[in-house]
Amino acid sequence: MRILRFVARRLLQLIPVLLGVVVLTFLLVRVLPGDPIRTILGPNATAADEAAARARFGLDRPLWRQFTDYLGGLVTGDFGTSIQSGQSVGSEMALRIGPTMELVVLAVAIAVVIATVVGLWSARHANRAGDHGIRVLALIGNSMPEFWLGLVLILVGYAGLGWFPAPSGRVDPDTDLTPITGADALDALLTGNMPALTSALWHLALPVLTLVIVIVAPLLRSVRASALEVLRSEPYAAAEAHGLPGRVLRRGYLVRAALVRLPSLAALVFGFAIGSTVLIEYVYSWQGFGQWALRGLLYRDYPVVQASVLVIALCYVVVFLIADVVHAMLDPRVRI
Amino acid sequence: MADSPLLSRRSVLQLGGVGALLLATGACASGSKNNPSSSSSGGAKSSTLKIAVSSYLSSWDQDFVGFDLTALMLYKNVFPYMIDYGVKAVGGSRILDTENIMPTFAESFEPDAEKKVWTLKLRKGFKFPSGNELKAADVKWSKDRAFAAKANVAGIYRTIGLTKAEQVVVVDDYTVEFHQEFPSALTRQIQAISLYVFDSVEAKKHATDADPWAKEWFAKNPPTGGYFNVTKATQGQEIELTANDAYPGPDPAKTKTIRISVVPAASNQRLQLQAGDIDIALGASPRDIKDLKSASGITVLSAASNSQIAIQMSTTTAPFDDVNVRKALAYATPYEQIIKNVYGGDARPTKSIVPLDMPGYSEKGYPYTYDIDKAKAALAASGKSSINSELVFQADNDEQQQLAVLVQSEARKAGIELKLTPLDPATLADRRGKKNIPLQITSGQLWVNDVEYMLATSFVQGANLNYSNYTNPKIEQIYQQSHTTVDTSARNQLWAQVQDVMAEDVPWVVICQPNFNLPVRKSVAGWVQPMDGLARLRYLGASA
Amino acid sequence: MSLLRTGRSRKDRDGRFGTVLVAAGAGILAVVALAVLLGPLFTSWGPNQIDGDAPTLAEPGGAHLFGTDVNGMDVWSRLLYAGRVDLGIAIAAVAIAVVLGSILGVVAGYFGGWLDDVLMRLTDIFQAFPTFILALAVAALLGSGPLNLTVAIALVNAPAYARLVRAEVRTIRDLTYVDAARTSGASTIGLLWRHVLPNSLTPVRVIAPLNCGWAMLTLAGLSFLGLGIPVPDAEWGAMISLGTGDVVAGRWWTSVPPGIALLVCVLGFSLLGEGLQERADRVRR
Repeated sequence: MRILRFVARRLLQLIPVLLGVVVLTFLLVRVLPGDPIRTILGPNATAADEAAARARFGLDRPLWRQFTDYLGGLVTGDFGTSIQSGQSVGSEMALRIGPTMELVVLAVAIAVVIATVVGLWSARHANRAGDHGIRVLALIGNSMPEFWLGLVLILVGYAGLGWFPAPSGRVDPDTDLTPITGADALDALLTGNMPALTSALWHLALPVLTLVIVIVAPLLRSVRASALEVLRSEPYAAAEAHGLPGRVLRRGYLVRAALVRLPSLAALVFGFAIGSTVLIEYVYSWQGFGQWALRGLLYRDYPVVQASVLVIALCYVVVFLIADVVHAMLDPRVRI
Repeated sequence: MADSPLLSRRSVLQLGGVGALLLATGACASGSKNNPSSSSSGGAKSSTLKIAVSSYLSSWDQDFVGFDLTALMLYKNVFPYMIDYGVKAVGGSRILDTENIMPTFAESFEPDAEKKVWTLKLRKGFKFPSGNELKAADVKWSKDRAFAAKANVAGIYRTIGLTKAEQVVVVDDYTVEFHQEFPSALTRQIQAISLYVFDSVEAKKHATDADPWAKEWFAKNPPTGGYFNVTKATQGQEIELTANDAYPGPDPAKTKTIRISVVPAASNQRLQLQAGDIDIALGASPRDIKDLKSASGITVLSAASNSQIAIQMSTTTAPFDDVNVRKALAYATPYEQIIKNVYGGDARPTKSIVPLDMPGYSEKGYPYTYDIDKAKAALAASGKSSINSELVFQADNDEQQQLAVLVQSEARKAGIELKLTPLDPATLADRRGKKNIPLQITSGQLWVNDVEYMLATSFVQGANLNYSNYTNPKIEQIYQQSHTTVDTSARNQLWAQVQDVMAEDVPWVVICQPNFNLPVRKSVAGWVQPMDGLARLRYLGASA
Repeated sequence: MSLLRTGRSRKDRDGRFGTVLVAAGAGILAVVALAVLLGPLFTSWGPNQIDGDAPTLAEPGGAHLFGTDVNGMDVWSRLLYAGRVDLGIAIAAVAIAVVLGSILGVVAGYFGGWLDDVLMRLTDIFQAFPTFILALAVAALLGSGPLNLTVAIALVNAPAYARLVRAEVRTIRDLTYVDAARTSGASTIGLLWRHVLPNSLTPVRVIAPLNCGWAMLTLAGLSFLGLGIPVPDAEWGAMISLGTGDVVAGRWWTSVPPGIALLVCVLGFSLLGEGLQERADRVRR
């Protein structure tokens, strides 16, 4: 019950934040230099043609009218029409979210698992060579620009060894995958299309690996630090002194306590990854959300930029909310 | 810098026509070294070709939205165009023959004696994939839609005296008349690129009161009934084209399936081409092309081109409103170094603002060569010892960026300090519209190979591509005079005068004409060089 | 008793590795800083100087230690000069973010109430805003000079500091010594400046170095997307992205050296931050 009240209160707090994001984006994108209309008209368009196109997208109206129209649309779930493609932004976005989500969710999940396993091991072998090595290695991964790492992995994994498919597309078109969610691996699973699943996973391998290498360090250090704290706590020492078997010790005392801080950090990493996959998407020709938002920004496709910022912000705050709730459930000390 | 006999001959024939313009280079085309495989129709079709492009098309709706290269290229292959260019063999290569425009989906397209009323006769029995037959009503609806859109086609139609939907008249189910306000020699050229037709019966099902032209439907759903049908399109990612077996005209598609994938990074396209994962790389960079010429399994299709690289100087903005300052920059530009470093020697130097292979080209048109001393002298003549300005170019264009760096480095030696300003597409379009760019790099090719057309688009007052804001009463007068001058030598005399004026006024720094290059797998055959830079995929085949 | 003793020796070992990390990080950064500051001594080429005699993309050796890039400029010289830009922007951006974030954090945390609510919702908004879009937008708005990029990266980072400092201030403001100062009539500004701010900056000291490394990566990413420092000025991210087209052709020298420089420099910051964190943890325990 208290959890529910906590969630409700936090949800209410989200409203002003999201509204702020909406207002800020709306104004920001219009303050930017550049004209969204001229790029969709041929160079021989006249002023009248231009005015007609502007009117078609409602850009001839006063700013406050444009804003209320946009807000009114949002309330009914209408994100507007893309100036560049003439398509509904909502349906374009639906296509683009899947690929990015599949990339980020998989990478964060793998990174969390690696961080947990390696972090616990590292803590139990603290201050030995292996522990030091792992930590420095993780830091090196964290210090690389992801587009650079991606290029190196393509050169080695695709051009050199030939183990991975060409960095183009997300699944072999010959597998005739029926798209449902846009996340190809998930769609293949849902439709029971095994060749497509294999193909999608192979295509995912390098981009996911790139992202994992870049994000694993902070997760690892969090798990290790928490685990060390537990290992050196008096209750743990007491339990150890009482001769509890190692497995019970690890399961009952170490793991749960060591993972308390992980959810909120994983949320932070998730938020960061969503916002920065654009570079990885570019390198791997991965036509996801980031590429779409970037193109929208470069062409000043107002509705696209507005929608993409809003959705990233929404992801971010919701993931944080979930992290807080999980944290609250894991850690009895948290008052909610 | 070998001059290409192929091109000089071709250019005489070249009156490819659009009311549009200089196109960004990138997806241009060239004569193929490969012999075309059997051109008989209905023969065994090679299975699948894979083509990489740099970006996805902006929209499938040709009337209301699309104006990017990928979109324009795809339109040529998936819309049914009633008439289209033929193909001509020149010097062992095949090029689109813009002189020879022939009916494709239509049966005929002919004018009356006055050349004011043109009659389009349709073939009977051609059906869209939906099963609806292509009829006069489809043509009428499509043209009504184009006028309503007030965009691309409506703009182009003005040049041949078509301004209202009422001028397109349905005579019977298979006959449509176009009533022009005046006769025009350009009608076939303009209609070749404008007479594309929608499946109106299908379209009307998706029209609403708020959206009478089914914009929403066509933004999402590719047109049907062209040389190819779009069998699959994953937004942003991949497009699959399948040959349209119902096409009734000459030269049907040779390849059954063509897959077009979006690979934004040029280096990725190169890797995939080398590995054989793609057959044609439409977005390879000049750096890669140089290497690929010696790569095994790959052919670089290559040809001279009338694509022109220049720096347009704003003649109305200080400091370039002073002709001596313009001359100073013209002397300070390292032409040879640019050809060597940026284009790997694969470009032709030019001595006129008129492209090399355009009728009337004169060597006197641009008497400027790299000479820092003359540049300093010219600057001194303007009464200044140093000037500052910005040089604008496209942000995502490596070639322009390298060029800008070289120009900046040399111009500095003459006392011209340039700030390099890469602009994204929206900002560039905006600033071009406001005409407030002092210096900008332009690259592209005129769609009509004629000086009158060049003046109309680039040098008369208010012309769309006149980013220099250049005006000269003499040029305006020559331009007016040229409308009624038909004799070739008389026209050439006019063009000589034009180039004399330009030699004095120097509105542009004319840098060079890079050759066209396209890297393909050795197995690709049948490439036809399109004059408008938009690849015609129906000629392509793969010899296994 | 024995428990406590083992505990202490473990802490000492933690501390020792922490010190090693700090030393390694600081050492790396010192070497980089030195190389960058004294750069002109190690090269006879200007960073934007085009060698008209050498071919573009000349192989390493001879007049050019790391060869030339596609513009015919000396890679080694650009590498040295680029460090100034990268380090300068990263450090300046983080410094601005710390100052801006601290001011907001102290004000929000100390005064609380509606001011706190408003400021925190504002930082929420900025934090929820996607990093790259915000940085791109600021860069597009102000133009893409080094100064504007600094501002863009600072704006992206400031909210995190505001939160961090606010949390510290909220625990500090109720401590006895602050109360004592307050009752003895210190002015609010003086109180904040002398007592609250210095003590609330403890976590900032640990985060800031890590953040510098991250700022460099953001800058490199912006350059890769074509929105970083405009050409021809040297910047490691821009050099890497310019060289990506070469590396597939086996011409490693245009992009591998800046890649390694960036990696080493960011690693220096990471090691420093990690070491400081470790030492801070030891004190807290």
